[in-house]
Amino acid sequence: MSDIAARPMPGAGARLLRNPVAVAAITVLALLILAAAIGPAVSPFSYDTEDRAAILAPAGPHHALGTDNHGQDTLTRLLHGARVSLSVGLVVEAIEVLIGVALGLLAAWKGGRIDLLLMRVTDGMFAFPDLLFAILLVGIMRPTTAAGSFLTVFVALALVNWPGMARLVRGQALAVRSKEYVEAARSLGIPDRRIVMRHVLPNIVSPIVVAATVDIAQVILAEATLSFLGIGLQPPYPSWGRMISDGLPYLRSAPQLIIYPALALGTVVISLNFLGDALRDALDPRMRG
Amino acid sequence: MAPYVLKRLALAVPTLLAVSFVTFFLGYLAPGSPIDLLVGQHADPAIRRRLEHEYGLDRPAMVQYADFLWGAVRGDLGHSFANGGRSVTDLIAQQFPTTAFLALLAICTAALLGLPAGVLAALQHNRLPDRAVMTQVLVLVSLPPFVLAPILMLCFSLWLGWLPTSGWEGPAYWVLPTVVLAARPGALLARQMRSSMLEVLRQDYIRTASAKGLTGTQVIMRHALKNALLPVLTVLGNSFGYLLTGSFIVETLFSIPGIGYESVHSILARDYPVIQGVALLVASVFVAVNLLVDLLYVAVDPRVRHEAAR
Repeated sequence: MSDIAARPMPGAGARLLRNPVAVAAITVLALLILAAAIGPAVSPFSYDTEDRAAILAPAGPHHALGTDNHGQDTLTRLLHGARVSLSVGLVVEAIEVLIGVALGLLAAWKGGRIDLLLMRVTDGMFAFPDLLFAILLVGIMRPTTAAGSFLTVFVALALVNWPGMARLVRGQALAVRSKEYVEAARSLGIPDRRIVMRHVLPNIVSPIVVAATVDIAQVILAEATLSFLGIGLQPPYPSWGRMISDGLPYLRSAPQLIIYPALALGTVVISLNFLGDALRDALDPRMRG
Repeated sequence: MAPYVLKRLALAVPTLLAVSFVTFFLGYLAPGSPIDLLVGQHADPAIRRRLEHEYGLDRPAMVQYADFLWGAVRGDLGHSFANGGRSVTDLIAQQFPTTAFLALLAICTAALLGLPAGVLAALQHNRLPDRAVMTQVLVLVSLPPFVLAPILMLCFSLWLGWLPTSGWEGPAYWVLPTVVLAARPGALLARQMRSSMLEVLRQDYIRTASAKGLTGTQVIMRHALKNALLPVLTVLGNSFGYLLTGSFIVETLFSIPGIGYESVHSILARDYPVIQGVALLVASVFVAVNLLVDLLYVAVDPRVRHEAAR
């Protein structure tokens, strides 16, 4: 019985791996994570090494993807940028899922005042464009140290993104709450905590996983936007968004400065979105539209 | 209907109050005093105190907030720290029309391209056109304006030389910013149109319409489309939030003299009165548009009207 509750989607993994789009997306993301993890250590340059002899150099044997206007190695900076994008995406999403699942389950299970409060607060947050809220928050609080800017970006993005997840979890939990197996578990006198953890949560994992995958893409885009506007991560640490805005003055003379980070950002976000779509199909064939 | 409208209007008030509260206190709690911007960090303390008094910054926070709010209600949003101390209301009045025009162009483009694409995808469900549209949707949703814009600038301005790269001097200058801003809302509209069209096509009244001998075109034009458009309205309303935020980036990219361009400069310069004014304006527009969408829903859908009347 508990085995069934704990494995709500048998065969989902196999279904996912039969989908060529999903396999391609997973491969791209895995390669990127690998590159971000070991690339910077292997590269002969640091992200802020300035090669005065090679300013705005094109791709060549010394600098595989060329250099920017400070003579900094583009490939090295791209790899560090990958670290930024991926870590911001994963950490913010983890915080968001934690808060969203905890509050969503609490509101659905306890109902009453707690539920009402959650709905009011999230309504309020939906009444304001979330990326704009993040821009204002980070723009006004803008710290000058690298660590401070990292922290501000994390906090701001988590703060504006959790309501969607909480609403999703609440809705799903409410639907599961009235199912017969939950009623059966209750009538057996199983404590609430155990019902929620063993029967409700496993049955709402699928939509959470799908939403989280697509959300990571949104978070990565939001970080890139903040950095593009110059209020995200502070230089010299590279971020793809920052690299694009720094490259704009050289659009005519050295378009590769923009093309590479734009390509990197586009590839990651597209892969995550396609993966989210494939996950939705694999985890719940009925949701296929 | 009238009580419902009043209720919805009343609900917008606390939302706007909350927004004004948050924007004011974000500025109030922000690191660094506005006085630093005027006279530098190491100015004579006596001069600082005099200036603080002059600008009313030595009063309790709640008094300053009440003052800000009362000013906002009368249409006075204070004075910019930069721009030679110009009135924020003036600044917005001068630049908002450009942004609104661009947003309007973008939303029309998005609807004109996205809605037919969504209908086509639904009618060709699981066939090639459907897959092509849905792939396009995912790609467009994934590419932010600052990725799309440089690519389009490279192709159409620098290589082909068809369109200008930046500025705002006539229709040729409108094309690229409009396309860049319309990409995401267009994709979202196509996705919503497709799924609500699929939903409607499954309904009994569609089968009845076909059964009584209407042609496919008649069924779609008279019965399916009208019903499928309703959920699309919500996406349309939400798109305005994106259009306003997107204008920050698009106007910066293309050097368009609108409210977004101004805001980015104000944020970088810590010009708080301008930031607060713009935030309040954007929130008001967003709330107003969503209110309008809700009311439109009531106006066009008898089922919702029935719900609302109760």
